[in-house]
Amino acid sequence: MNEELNNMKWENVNAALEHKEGSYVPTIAFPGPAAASWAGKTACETLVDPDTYAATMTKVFEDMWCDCTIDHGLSTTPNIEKAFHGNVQNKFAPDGTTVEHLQNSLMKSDEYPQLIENTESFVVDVLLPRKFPWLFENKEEAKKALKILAEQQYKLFFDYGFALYGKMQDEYGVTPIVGETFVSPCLDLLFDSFRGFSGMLTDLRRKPKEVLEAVDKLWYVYCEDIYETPMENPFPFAEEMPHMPAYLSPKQFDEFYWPQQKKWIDKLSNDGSKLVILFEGKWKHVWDRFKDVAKDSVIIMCDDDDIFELNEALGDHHIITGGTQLAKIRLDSKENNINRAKAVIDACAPGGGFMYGTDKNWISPGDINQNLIDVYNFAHEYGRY
Amino acid sequence: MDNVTYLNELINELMSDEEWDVPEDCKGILLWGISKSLLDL
Repeated sequence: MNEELNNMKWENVNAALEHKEGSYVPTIAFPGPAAASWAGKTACETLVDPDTYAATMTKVFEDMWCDCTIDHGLSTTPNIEKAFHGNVQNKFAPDGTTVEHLQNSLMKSDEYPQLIENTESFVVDVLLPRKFPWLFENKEEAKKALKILAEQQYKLFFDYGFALYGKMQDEYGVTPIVGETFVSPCLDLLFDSFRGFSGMLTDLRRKPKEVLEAVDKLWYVYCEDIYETPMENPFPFAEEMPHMPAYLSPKQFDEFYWPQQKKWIDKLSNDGSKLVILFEGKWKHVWDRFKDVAKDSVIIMCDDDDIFELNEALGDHHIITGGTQLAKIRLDSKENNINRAKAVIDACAPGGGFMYGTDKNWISPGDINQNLIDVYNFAHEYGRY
Repeated sequence: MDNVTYLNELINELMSDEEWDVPEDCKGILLWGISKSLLDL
């Protein structure tokens, strides 16, 4: 451990989080399975033991300057897929590294009354038997599958997770800025867990009243307790990975989304914490809403929005991360990517509250490549205050 | 037996399964909103 180096990295991350200029612009990584690929393995090949996993997944930090990360590591294993007969939404692609999400939404459009009446019963009595009928027909097989699920998740989030986060922080001084708390406005929950993309977009137009009632009910069932419980530790922060706002009109956003979005931001701010939100897709049509919450209560991860415009609109009010477009990193020259990094840092760094990062997470082989390494290292050198 | 009762019974049996030799935190994963976890798998 290099304590001096680690302290320096943390001081600069902390300065950015306090919306101040440190000695340089911190870089924030968005790592995941691609980190295994950079180390010459598939993600599945890292699941040997905690030390192998941690060493492989942190190899990228030997080559790339990183000060902090959003979360890191794998979220599923091939054994979970096998235990549930392959009928899972998140599974490894044939490359053994990319985790594909194959959305399989189980709720039908005429089932809102059942969801609203008794959510737990609807999930267990209707949706789960639709997905895993054998779970309710063969008790021994069900027990075996649940054991594997618990063991694999324990392995990922405890044994392997602790090893990874320990090595990342102790050896490389890379601090994860988000912890265990995931929050979500319930329109996203309805989208993610129940109705899926096509169902949700149709329902918003044909069944707005039912959607609103469902959103309220889901809040009561899945969010109320977390909302009412003060965060034990304000850092690391809570995280939100929304999908819906890019597809909502400003009017729909105000009606279906913003009330709960604002509640989460206000709650976390009142607890002395912040909310990290990936603005997935483009959110320009709703940026101005975020001026109505406390200053620096949100860390905005810029995705497809124009980061220069976003910085103009919200850079004084919240903390912004981004600047690197993964697609351009892959397809454009090193020189063009570095010129873009210069322009982003020139525009966004003054005044602090900015961290240089990518628009999307690093999930597939090739997402971490020499261009990305070079641009991050350049950003660290160029982004001096 | 309805499915909610069946699932609760299943979890209880697993929690008290002495032959399942794993840390308590591992078993505890089954108590963290298992029905929603299964739905999201």
